[in-house]
Amino acid sequence: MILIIAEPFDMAALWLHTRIAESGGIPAKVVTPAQLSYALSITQYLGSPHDGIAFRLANEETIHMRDVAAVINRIVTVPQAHINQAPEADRNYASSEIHAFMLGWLGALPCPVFNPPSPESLSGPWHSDIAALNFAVLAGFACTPATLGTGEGLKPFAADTASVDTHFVLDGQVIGALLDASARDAMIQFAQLWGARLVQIDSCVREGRRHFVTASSMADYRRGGALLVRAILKAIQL
Amino acid sequence: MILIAGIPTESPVARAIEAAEDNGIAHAVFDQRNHAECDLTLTLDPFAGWRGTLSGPGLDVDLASLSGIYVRLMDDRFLPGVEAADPFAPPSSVALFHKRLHDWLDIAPGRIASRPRAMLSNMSKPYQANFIQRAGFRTPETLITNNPDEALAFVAHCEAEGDAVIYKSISGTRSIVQAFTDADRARLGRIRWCPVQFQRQVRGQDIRVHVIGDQCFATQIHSEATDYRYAQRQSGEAAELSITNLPDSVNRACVSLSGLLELPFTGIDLRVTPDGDYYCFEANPCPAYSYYESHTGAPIARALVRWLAGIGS
Repeated sequence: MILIIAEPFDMAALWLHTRIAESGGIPAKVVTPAQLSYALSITQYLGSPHDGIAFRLANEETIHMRDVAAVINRIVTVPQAHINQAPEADRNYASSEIHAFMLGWLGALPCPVFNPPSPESLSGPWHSDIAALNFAVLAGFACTPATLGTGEGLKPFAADTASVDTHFVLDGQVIGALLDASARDAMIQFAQLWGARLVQIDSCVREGRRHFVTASSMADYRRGGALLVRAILKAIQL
Repeated sequence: MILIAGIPTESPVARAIEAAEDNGIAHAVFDQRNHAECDLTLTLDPFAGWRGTLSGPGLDVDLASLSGIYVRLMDDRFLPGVEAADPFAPPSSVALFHKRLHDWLDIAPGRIASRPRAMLSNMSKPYQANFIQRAGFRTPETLITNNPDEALAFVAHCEAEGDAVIYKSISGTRSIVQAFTDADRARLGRIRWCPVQFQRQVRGQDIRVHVIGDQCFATQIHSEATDYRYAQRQSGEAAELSITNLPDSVNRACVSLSGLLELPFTGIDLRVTPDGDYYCFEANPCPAYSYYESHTGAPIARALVRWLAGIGS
């Protein structure tokens, strides 16, 4: 089973779920972060022969992570409404504990995960605009010079939406419209610096040079279409 | 030149400044208490990335001139004079300045001990445990659960083999490690609200290893307490600290863990069993090394500033 952890309104995740189902291979199942956070029973064993994670959901269904072949991880936040009424100090402590638990078990999964969590973001690496632009420069994208004083925000690159190209880099493979070698290398280099297995990179060509626009670990699979779905299934080796 | 960033009177920062002075290492100090009068200006060079200056009272640093930075910044929300933020208001100038500083520290070239983003791994002990195991250390048998029955079964399993069970926080929130007792059974139902971490107690000698680059400084701790940081409270006697030497394989594992976590300066908590097995509990991303240095005389601050200056390994 491929486990897709996503909010019920995550259209990209639901689209991917449908495409995986249509592929006729291994089944895929969507669970929400709330179902996991409010599970009747959560057990994670570490450092023993019984290592493993299991959730018994509110509907009594049990998900043993050992039965999961791959995870599509789209957790942005962990619902915690059940502790809202606790005193502030207890609530803050419990909130930290729940987040730490989620980070821990997602990071411990032995199966392929797109994307594994990072300490700063459960759904995979997240970087500031400043860092993303730095990676882009180092990777070889064209960037517009900018100066920032304290308190000044970075203005987003003014790209015409219609001219933006979306590419994906999955385990070092570029998926999307054909690129020249230098642009392809820039994409791969950028993804390495970004640090996620699957990265969406938006760029555009201006005055003959490819400019970086934005990037995300939360891919919109719909933009990658069938090619991206096939690449994900291949990476999962199904 | 190296930059030392933090509160200059705080012991680890004070020792780093003193070590830089004693070793003739050019250094600048960013006194975080002066944040309101400081400015961090960044300019994007289309080929070299971000360049800039950090300026403030007694401080005017070309960021490109820095070989290394010691980062020991306080959470800016708790700085003196900073009022509690309204979650619905725009970020304050204090928050904006610190966000910019953290963003830059995450990508600054040179030796950074350590980058704010890398320090976040300490937010989750089980997350770090994945790296600890990859580095070659054992980790204690652990159950994280919100299920009282599973917790009791784990306790019974450990007790049947003669071992006690302790419980402690999953997150980086400081908690006092406690032994599981009969009194805890009566309130175990509370864990249904939030998973709790239970661990088979590992008996043995506590060791703190400070890693700087590829150098290790090991301190052994003698204490009867469950948590030696609270030895006076738990056992009535203060912990005793002394320098120790570790097998090369353990030193290598510590350096490996430091590398995996991208924490070139870290404090690693180990316990060696009577059988000679090394268990690792966690890696502290911004260790309060001065406590150990003051008890043992290990030259940790000297090693830190020399590493930042690019002297030695």
